[in-house]
Amino acid sequence: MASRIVVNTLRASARPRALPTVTRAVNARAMSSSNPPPSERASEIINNLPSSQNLVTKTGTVILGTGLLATAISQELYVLNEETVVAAGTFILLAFLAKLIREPYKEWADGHIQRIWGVLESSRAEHTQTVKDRINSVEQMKDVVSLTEGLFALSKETAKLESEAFVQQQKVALASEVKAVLDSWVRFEQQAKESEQTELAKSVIDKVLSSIKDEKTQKEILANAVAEVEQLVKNKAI
Amino acid sequence: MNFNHSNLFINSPLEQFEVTSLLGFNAPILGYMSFTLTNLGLYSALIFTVILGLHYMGNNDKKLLPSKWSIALETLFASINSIVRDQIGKEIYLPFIYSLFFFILIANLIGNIPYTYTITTSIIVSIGLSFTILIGVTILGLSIHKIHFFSFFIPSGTPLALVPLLVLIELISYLARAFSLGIRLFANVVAGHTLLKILSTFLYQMFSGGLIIFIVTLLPFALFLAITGLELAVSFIQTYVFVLLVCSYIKDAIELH
Amino acid sequence: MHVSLIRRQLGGIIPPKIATPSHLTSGSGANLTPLVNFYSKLPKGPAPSTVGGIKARYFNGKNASGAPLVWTILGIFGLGYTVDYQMHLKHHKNHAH
Repeated sequence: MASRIVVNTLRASARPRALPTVTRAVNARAMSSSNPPPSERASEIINNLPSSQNLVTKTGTVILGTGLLATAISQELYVLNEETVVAAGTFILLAFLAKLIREPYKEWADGHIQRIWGVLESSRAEHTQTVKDRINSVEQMKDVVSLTEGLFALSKETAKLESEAFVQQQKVALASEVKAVLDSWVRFEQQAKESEQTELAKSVIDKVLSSIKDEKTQKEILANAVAEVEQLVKNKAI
Repeated sequence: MNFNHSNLFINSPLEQFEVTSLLGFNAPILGYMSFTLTNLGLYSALIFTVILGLHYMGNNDKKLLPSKWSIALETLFASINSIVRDQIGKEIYLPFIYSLFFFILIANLIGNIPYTYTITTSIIVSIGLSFTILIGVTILGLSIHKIHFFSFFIPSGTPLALVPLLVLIELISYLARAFSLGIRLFANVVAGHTLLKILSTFLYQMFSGGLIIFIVTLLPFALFLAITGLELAVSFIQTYVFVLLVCSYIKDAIELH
Repeated sequence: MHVSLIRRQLGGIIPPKIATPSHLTSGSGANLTPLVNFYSKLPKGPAPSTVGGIKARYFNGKNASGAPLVWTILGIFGLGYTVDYQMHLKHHKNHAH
């Protein structure tokens, strides 16, 4: 009997609230949609369902729940007894605890996950940077072969040029040496000729002087001079 | 008149702890053996499923980045690990303590949901569990210390005359551990559930007394909510205490003072 | 005299050394091949999601939610109620004894 009373009061309290809301919700939906094609309307409803933040679906759920509960109680499928009080208490408590814990837990968990994510991400970035640096340092060696080949070619050419220059230098040196030798020869012959002539002149002068010193010669010369003078006189030249 | 009617409706508050047979049949083998699924069996299977499911679903597929579920499991694991390391010092006992913790915790928590049966309120589960553990611990101590294990029962520096008496006392206190461990869990949970049952019976009577009394009853109902919360806390605390005591008993057995 | 002259001139001919093995191994003597082997074996691209179903929907990564907890509690409640109903509640329902 007591449960009857409760059921009746529940029914009485549930119905006047529930029915208008249902009709209102239905009306609102009918008005808002303004007759789009059925497929579009269906997709709209489906879109509305998962996001339970929506007011319409929330009230819908509440209405559905109370309706089901009322039906279950009225059919005596759900028998009200003292365990119902425990159930109500437990669910209210659990809902309260869930509400209380949800946000701090989310924050804590997100913070923790974020921290681990940060560590992993930073180590990955660091590693990537290391590998990139390594690649760059190796990349600098990319054209080292051609560069070295060029350098070797250059040095080869330099060597060749240097050898040519050396050859030319040797040639010049030889020529100048030959010239010097020839010059000295020329100088030597000239000197020899000069000294020969000097020698000759000296001997001639010496001979002359010695012959002059000889009496016979003096006499001869004197005789010659006298003869010449006589000749001149004869000829009446003076 | 109405209340009398309802009073017949109410059974003993201890009725919820009865082991009843849900399904049963007599198999025509071994002289008509009776196979029954009791609520104890059903809820044991349920606890097993929930624990396995939780660990399968929450294991995060070996990913490095934890999810919000695996982070909770990891935190619980870390705290149990720290209990084991502080109490025993050897992590080889961690799997046992971890499974024990989860078994008792999930059993208690499932018991907190209305209309369910709490298997730790069955004395055969609680005492059976604690006895099994104590027997195991004794075997462990004997296998580690051989005959020296019995020095556990003689405190150092006892006069020879007192040895028989002291051995008797120590033996009794050692055996009492097995009972106290199980009864602590059993009594706490049973007391909580019985209290809730009695209070809810009163509250139900008051709630069905009429609209004004209904509103007035909301005040004691708030108190009832607080007690429900206390029960939830007791579920955790008793699990923690049980596990902590098991750890200290294992430590006693492997270190002998 | 001639030999030393030639040697001096050859010293000028040989080009400077611009590549050394230590440049390739970054000075530590490590070879690049293990590194290359390691990276060539790593899978490329985003990881394929192997597990689908309930676990992917409610438990993993960003999808983690408390919904499974709520459903488990409700399910156990329903189970408990059903058992209770079948055991004795249905005998009380129309006229409580």
